[in-house]
Amino acid sequence: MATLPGAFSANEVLTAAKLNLYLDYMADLAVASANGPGQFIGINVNTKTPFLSKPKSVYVDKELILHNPTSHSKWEYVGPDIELENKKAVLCFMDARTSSTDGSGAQLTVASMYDDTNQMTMDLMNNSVDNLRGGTFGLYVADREDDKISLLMKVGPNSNFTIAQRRLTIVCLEEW
Amino acid sequence: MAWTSPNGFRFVDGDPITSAQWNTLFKDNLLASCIGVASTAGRYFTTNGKFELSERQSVRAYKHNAVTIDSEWPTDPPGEDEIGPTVTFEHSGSFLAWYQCRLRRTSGTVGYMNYAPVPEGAGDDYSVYSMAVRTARATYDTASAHMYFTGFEPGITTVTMKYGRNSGDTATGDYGRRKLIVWPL
Repeated sequence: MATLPGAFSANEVLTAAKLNLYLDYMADLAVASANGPGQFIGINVNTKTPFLSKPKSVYVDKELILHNPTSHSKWEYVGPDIELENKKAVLCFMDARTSSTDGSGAQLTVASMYDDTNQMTMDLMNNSVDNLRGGTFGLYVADREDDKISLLMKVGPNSNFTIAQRRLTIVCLEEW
Repeated sequence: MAWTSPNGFRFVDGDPITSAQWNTLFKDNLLASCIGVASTAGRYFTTNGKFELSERQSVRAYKHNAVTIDSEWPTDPPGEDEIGPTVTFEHSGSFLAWYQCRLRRTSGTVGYMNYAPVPEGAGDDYSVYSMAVRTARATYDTASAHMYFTGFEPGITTVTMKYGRNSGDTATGDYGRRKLIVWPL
């Protein structure tokens, strides 16, 4: 970020150097970053420069049937995946059609594909045999600059779970 | 106000500063910035194009009453007062929508009841299966979903929530506490 220009004083001689500082500062304004329509504007507090935040949405229609015959819960990535590309904190919105035929059903959340313990705190659950398509949302915070996230499913012991028509959308709130 | 990039322009000691330079590089550019565009509290900024910002406002609508639907998707509830919820807003070609309702399937053993937004001008570009709140359950659930709409002509658009069962099925259903929120971009 350019240096914040100082104030002018009465009787001060206006110099090109000081005026050029103002030009450099103007070049870092958010409007100078705008490169096309449809993006939110954020500020990187570390560099004090604006960043553009365009939502990213991915959809997977294919039905998956997850079978867990064990007596333990089983975690499995079901997608879709999104690469965060220098995004540190993102609002995540996820929807899916789900149903459960046996056992305690499953929970669905958003997690890092590099570390499944880094998960969004909100999750979606369905332990009914009847299909329901709905969603939830939360805030995901990455712990690495090249993070990639996906829908992660925790299938209960001795459970069969079906998922389809799933959508994941992110809006960046903070960059690295 | 149009933005003029200051990149590549340098003042030089001894050169007179013209009023045109000052007005273009400082006055007009400041008017094109967030502060210059801001007009009303509680709004946010988005890009409207190259070097162009817009002030946007989220919109919302709510219908509390329960309605019964026994038609195919997409349909409006009976009664003109129950149509919707509906919102109208300005955007630069894309918008985010969130929608929620309390719903159940009350008859039929095949098919789903759907609740999803229909923007005017959307045509057949968006499949109800990929974005609807949908149920085959006989008990009430409160469920929500979202959709990121893109590729629209910039301008003013109306989005209306629609209802109905899958084509060819016989299901009927009830919907209540119907919400819609849109963030225009």
